[in-house]
Amino acid sequence: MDGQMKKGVLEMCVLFEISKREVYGYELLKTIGGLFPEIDRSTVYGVLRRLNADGKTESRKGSVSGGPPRKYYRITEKGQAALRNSIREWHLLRNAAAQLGIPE
Amino acid sequence: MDRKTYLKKLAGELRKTCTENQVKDILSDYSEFFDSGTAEGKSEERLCREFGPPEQAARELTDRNETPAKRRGMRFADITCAALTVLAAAAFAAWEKPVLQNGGPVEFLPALLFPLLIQAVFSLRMAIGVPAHAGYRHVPRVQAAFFVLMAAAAAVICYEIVHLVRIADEVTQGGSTFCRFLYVFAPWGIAASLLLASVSEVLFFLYAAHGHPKARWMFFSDTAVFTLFLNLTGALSNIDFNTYNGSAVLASSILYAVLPSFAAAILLLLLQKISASRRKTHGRSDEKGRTGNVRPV
Repeated sequence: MDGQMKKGVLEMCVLFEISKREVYGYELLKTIGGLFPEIDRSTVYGVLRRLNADGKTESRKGSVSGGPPRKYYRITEKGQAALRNSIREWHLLRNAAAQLGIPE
Repeated sequence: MDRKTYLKKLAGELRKTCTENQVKDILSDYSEFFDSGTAEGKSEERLCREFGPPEQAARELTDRNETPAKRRGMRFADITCAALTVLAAAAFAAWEKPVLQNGGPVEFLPALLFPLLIQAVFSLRMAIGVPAHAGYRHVPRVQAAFFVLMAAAAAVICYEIVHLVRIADEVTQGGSTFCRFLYVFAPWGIAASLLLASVSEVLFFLYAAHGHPKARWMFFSDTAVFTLFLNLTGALSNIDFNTYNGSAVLASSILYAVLPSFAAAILLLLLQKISASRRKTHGRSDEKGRTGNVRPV
């Protein structure tokens, strides 16, 4: 997949996954990495890091009983708005492609 | 590749562009991923493969659009810093003669020259684009050592001041009241500006090491204080107290101390403005080139 498109879709997927519930870094890398096997997990981590830097997600240190400390991520108000925006754009793109007759 | 090698390689790549804090943060996240992955029964080898090559990972985590501009701005700062350092070293050499020959307790010129030269070399290396070198990380540490020596020098100067005040009457015999005042005041000014320079130097490098935008302003104050220091030093070593009258001393001290300080500060601000506006246009052209957000870290 090419750079810009990949980044956009990847960002939407990461944000959507975090919007469902609070997740920790490795779990998220595994879920998204499993969906996009050709993408390095470092790329997913880069997307996550940038979302956090932009204030679309926030992180906290936490741990399950007995486990090692983990960084948990959850979505912010700003992230919710950005996610709604990306989903809308995604639908527009899909509709445009479907109208041309590009098969699903 | 095992975990240790991977993290080491990644750190090496990241240090080319990120601050030490960012590198630490990223490495701690990767350690957490390795811990979780190993707990799941995956081998380190496999986890490294999943993360992708460290060089590639570092590129994904690095700000590709802003880094070159940032580095250009730093290059200007580094060249100025190197030039100032050489000037400071020269000033110490000029200053030691008239002041310390009156009975200085310590020959601290060589001691100060050493860190100054280290700083000049580091600044020049950074200026010609060697920040990729691992030695870059040690610059703040060298600065800390430099600060300690500067503070020590200021302490010695304070001792000298007591001495100078004692002999002021004798040395300025035949000179005006103002000459005596200047002879007493200038060393205090030197000591104070040296102390201020030390403090702002340390703040500058602490801010710079942590990638704080305030570093730019600390650099200005640093430069201004250094200029003041150099000029007071120059004024003190150039005055012949027996031939100069009060107004000539006043005029020359303004000429030597005040005007160049202002000129240097204004010049620096102008250069900074130019490089800032250049960075802005550079950033905008990048903005157009990208549709998605390609600005990690």
